[in-house]
Amino acid sequence: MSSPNDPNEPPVPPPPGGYGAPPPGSYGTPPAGGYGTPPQPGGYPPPAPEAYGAPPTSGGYAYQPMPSAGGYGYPAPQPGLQRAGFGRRFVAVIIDGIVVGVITAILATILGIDIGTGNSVAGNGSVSSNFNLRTGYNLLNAVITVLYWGGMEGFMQGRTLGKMALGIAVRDINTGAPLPVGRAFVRAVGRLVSGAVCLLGYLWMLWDGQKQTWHDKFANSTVVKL
Amino acid sequence: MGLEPLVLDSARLRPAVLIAGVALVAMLAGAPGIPCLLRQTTGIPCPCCGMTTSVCELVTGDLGASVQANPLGVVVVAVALVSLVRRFSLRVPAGVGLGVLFASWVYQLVRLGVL
Repeated sequence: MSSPNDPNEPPVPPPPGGYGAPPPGSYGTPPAGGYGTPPQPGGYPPPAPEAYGAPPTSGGYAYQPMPSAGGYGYPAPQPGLQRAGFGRRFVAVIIDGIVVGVITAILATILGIDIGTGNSVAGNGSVSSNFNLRTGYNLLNAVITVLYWGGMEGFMQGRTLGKMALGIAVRDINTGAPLPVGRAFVRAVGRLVSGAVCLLGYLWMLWDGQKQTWHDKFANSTVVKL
Repeated sequence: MGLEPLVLDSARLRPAVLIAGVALVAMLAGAPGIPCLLRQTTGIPCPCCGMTTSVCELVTGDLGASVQANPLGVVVVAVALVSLVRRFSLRVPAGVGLGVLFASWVYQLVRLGVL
């Protein structure tokens, strides 16, 4: 999946105190043909060495901050907005999961869908032959998942109940605006994919260069602190 | 498809490792694991199936059973432990990550009798 927002690409100023600090070593070696030789003949005088780090107010050769090797050079979705970390998003999804689980369980009871045991026995290395399927219940849960997350994030400025509790919201990764309703539902369907591979799509934000989950990538979104 | 490399950074992994550690203690005390949604719904295992079993077996000392359930469990535990005690930032090419996932999926499909 190629993101239009590659970390090497836009030099958006990082939020204060955020992840954007370039490694200290990168200040010591100016690129060849950089500060010592101005491109325009007769143009700007070479800046004093202490001018490093302060971008010139006019002129062509602004210092471009390089993303560090750790991939922490995230462009902020909007000046002043910081991306939410794993902890907040984890707690939010637990809250929302409980909400969706309660709704699903009540509806399943009304509709007469068997919840079943749906679990395997953890802790023994043998191939479990008695793995109980829970197809109907899980499909109902998937429908509620899409309706709940799509509806809340589409109509409530990117906030589910869990996100409200944690002070975070879904935003477009480029503009910082709430997602349109259609993309909120794309993101909600994307959750099913993120959850299908043992939640790997959720964990993806831990090592993704853009700190995005799979459903973030499908909807070109991110989650920010408000 | 210009896939970004995956960045395994100790500082970013640490909160997740701590949460997983709490869950692991609960499971060793008898709490049920998190079932694979794909397998629970369709009967088809996913690439990470067997991971809970693998990690539980490893931390209780049965390396053989751990590898049998999912060979990646050993790798995950190793990365998790190292992230707690030292700083690192590893860049893994996306192709390597996808290749490992695919190999793991084939292994699980064979192990659980789908292939």
